[in-house]
Amino acid sequence: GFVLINCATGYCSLQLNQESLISLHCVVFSFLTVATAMAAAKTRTSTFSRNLSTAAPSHGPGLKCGPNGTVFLSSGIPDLDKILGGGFPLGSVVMVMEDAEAPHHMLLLRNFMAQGLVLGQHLLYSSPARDPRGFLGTLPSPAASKDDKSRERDPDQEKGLRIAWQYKKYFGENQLDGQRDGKHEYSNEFDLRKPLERHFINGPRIDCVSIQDCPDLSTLRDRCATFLSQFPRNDGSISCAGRIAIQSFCAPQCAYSNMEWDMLSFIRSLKSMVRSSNSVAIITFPPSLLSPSFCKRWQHMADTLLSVKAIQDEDKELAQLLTGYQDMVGFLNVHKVARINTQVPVILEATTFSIKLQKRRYLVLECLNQAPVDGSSGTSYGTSGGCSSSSKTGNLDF
Amino acid sequence: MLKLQCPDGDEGITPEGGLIALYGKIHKTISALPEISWKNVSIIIDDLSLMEVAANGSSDYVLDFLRYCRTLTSEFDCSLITLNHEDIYSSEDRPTFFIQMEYLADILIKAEPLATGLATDVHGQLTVSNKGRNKVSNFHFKVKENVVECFYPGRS
Repeated sequence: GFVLINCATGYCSLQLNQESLISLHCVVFSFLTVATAMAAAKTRTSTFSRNLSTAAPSHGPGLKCGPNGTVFLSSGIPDLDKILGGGFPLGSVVMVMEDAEAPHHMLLLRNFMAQGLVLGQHLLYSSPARDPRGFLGTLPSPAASKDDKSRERDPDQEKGLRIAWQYKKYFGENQLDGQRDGKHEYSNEFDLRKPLERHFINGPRIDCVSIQDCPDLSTLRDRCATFLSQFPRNDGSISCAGRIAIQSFCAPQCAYSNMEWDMLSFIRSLKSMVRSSNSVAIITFPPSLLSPSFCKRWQHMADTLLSVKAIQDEDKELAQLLTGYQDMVGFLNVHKVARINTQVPVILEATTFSIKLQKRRYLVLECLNQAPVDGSSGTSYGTSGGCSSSSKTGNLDF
Repeated sequence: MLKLQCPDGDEGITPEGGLIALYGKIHKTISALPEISWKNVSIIIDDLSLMEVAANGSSDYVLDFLRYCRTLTSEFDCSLITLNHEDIYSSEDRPTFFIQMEYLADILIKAEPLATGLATDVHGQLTVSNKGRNKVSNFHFKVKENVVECFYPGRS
């Protein structure tokens, strides 16, 4: 058999019998020497080959096959799915860094939760509120298909105005694909003005946990373990997937919020439970409430790392630099994209997106577009003119 | 692959106990191999910052564990490779743990993004400091499916 051990990504494939288990370490070293030798010799061949299954098994609703044997579920925001290359992969942990000045992380949470419920997936929701169930009443409903169609037409026309034709070739192939028939089985456009129908919220597939009065995290950990045991990962087709949404995990009103190592230990154990199940966990947290060193540790735990930022009111400099500034409610930054079963990283064209509410109903994410320089004013912008990505919106760098 | 049993709640496993047991397992596994293959053994720890989490913050025990593993490299002439994240420690007042790690190492490999930011052709740069030979090298690298290609800056 062949052996490939790549500890850094957690991807490990072993085909050994009992006797050869002892020689495992020898193979590890030979892998390293082969890798270094190959790198030095600049050969393109490799002695390792990926064991691909020939046919992708069909899965239940709300699941889509991705590359490298991964399976995605939708974030509930079609634009975000596209940015992330399909959605959130099963077995991954998504972390969202909140901005204390605006509740934009709630937009991400609501769409994530509503998407799961609408497609029959199970949901475990935890928040520092005394009665987390109250939040379920704010979940949005899928947009009516009539509204959908009118929305589909506008972006094409808008894009025709904003982006010259020769740049269309730089867009991904699936950007302009129809996919509308299968679309509603995987992801929906959500109407933030329409609440989710009662029968979705009152179903048996939702469990809510309040973490406000918990002295330690063992209750939450046990609830997560019980929840995730319903979706064990095996090689067959997946009948059902689960979603865990943990809101404002280190909020100060929680009794455990000063137990830094315990919180980290919880995230670590949640991550390992999620990794061996068919589910996705989203954890939002306010980074300003953690010490810088722990904030970094939390960020390293994430498979997918996002952050949201508020837009200051009346920021005249930003208004001059960006088109469509008035419609923006905030910024979304993509810091890390989950990579499962592969060590090749994803390099995004852009990592900062504006959050807009189209018609005050639909959440859209757009690349930032630099406004034309006003030549009449006579001042020159000190910042660079390149349109590369930036994660520090405060510096006004593009 | 050997597993470190992380104390999840009260299972009677202390961080120190868990690490001592892990060291014992490693020693036992290598001892059981034929002597001729000892030098071909690589102990890979991925990664140390998670080991601190498993030890519930007792970084001293993790450092002790690391020192003990290092003794194995002279006892068995095997290799020890560990991974850690520098940015976690650079925000601390006293980054003792990381400094100790750097001190213990014979070869230090630093992987970081390019100063100019992210790129699709070059994923980052490696700085290799070989204390034994007093040599520092710098490479660019690109991560591919089965291999990591390293090349001198400017070439690919």
